[in-house]
Formats: sequence, C-alpha cells, structure tokens
Amino acid sequence: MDSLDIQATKSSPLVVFDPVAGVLRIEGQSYPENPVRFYEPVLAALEEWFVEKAGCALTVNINLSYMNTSSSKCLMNLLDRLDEASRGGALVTVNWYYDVDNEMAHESAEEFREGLQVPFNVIALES
Amino acid sequence: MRDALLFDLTNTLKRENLLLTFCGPFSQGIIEEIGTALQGYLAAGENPPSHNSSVFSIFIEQTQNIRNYFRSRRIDEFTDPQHGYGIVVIGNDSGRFSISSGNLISNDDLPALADRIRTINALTREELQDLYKQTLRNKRMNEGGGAGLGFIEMARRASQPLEFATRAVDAGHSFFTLHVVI
Repeated sequence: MDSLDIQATKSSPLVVFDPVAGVLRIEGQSYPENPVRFYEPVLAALEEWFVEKAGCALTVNINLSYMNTSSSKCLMNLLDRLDEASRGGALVTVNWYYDVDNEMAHESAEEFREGLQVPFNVIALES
Repeated sequence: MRDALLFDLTNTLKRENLLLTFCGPFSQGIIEEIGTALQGYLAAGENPPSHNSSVFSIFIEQTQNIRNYFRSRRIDEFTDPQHGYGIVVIGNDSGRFSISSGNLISNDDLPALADRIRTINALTREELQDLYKQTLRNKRMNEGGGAGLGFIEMARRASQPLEFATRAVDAGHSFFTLHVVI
C-alpha cells in the first residue's frame, strides 16, 4: 500500500506515513484553508492500513506547535478513529508532543486525550 | 501628494498602539503572510509562549472567520471588493495585545452572530471549557468550513469578554467589528 509524504507549508504540517514500519508523523503548524480536505488522505491511508495490516502495531506521533480550531476538530476525528481501532483490538499508540514552556499546549493535549482508551502518551518537549 | 494622509495615519496608528494593520481581501495567502510576521514579532518579545500562542490563535480565528463567512455567502474577495473586504488591526499597548477586525455582513446574518457572542460571553470559564470539549467532539462542520469553535476559543484565551459592534452601511448590510483583548 502507498505511503504518505506531504511536505510542510506555512499553514500545513509535514505528514509522513510509513505503512511498513507502521509509523505516522504529523509535525508543524496546522491552519490550512480547508483542513477537512487536508486530513482526508491521512484518514483514508489509515482505513486502508487497518484492513491490510490488521494485527500490526501502529505508532502515531503528533507534534503540532499550533493548530486552528478547524484542524483541532479534524485531529479529534482522527484520534476517534484510532481509538475505535484500538477498542477493536488494533495495537495503536499515540504520542502527543508539546512545548514544555507552553502550559496551554499541555491543557490542549489533555483535552484531546480525555475519554479515549487508546494508549496516549503526552510528552513534554524541552525547547 | 499624500503627505497629510500619511502623517495623520501614522499618528493615528502610533496613538492607538497599533503594530500591524491590514485592510483588503482576506485570502489564505495574506492570512499566512501576516500570521508569519506576527509570530516573528511575538517570538522576539518578552511574553511567555502560552501568551504568544493565544495572540496568534485569536488572529487566525478572526481572520479565518471572515474568510469562511465570505466563502459561505459566495462572496469572492477579489472580484467583489465592495463586499469582500475586511480589516484587522493588532494592538500592543505596553505588552497588552489585542486583535480587532471588521467586515461587511448581511443584516440577515446579524441576529444569529450577536446571539452567539452574547451566549459565549455569559459563560463561566468552566462552562467555556466544557462547551469547547463538547464541540470538539461533534463531527459536524459549519457551512463555511468552520468547526463552531472559533468564538469559544477566542473567549477562553481572552482576558476580557469579546466586544462587538455593528453599524448600518446600506439597506442590506452592516459593518461588524470584533475586539478581543488577550
């Protein structure tokens, strides 16, 4: 299956998905004009992966220094999908990185994690 | 010559402590350019990262709100500059930042917008947090592509209630302004 390699722009993050290693990385800033369209291929790749690689481990590393509210909703949607897969027995781990100096970024991470059962590590990054 | 105009504009911007002003069509590209300049300015300052991210976040939410509004009403900023323009000003009054914006809005859309802001202003901090989390988990997007989170996000990052005002421009339109102090 296809990998994803989307380069970062001013308003959209780097997205790299390696289906062989089972690693998805999302890094940078996220406030594209149309976040739903931006995250669509990411969700599509995950759907395909869950079918073709059932039983394999998936690690999702998210390191976003800024996201607008529309992107937040798309990210929540993505996390919900990972949570659903995890509840269904998939081996998913989410690593959510945030700037240790930014207390609101920590709060925001906890807001995303609330209510999810998927293993979700909130990791402080020293600047 | 425009010396009198430039002199007056400069004095007004200085008197009001406005560090950045833009008036015209709000394209995504323009929002990104101003946003990048703003991030650079904030990073060079003394304020903590959480404050700087609040200023940036309120700037993006306001400008993308205007952009999404025009898109939802099928107003093209470039071919219809009579209707599709906006203004945003970023103030820095001795370290106290504010973001204010204005745009033309159809009178039909005013009551719902005013209700929305009044409702959010009436919430306590805890209620705002709860509403944010609840809306974040609601999968529906608005017709303009927004998440329905913009005003909640601005209110929870602001130090004062959201201020808004409107004034009639013609029979069908008003100029809507929003002022948010971080």
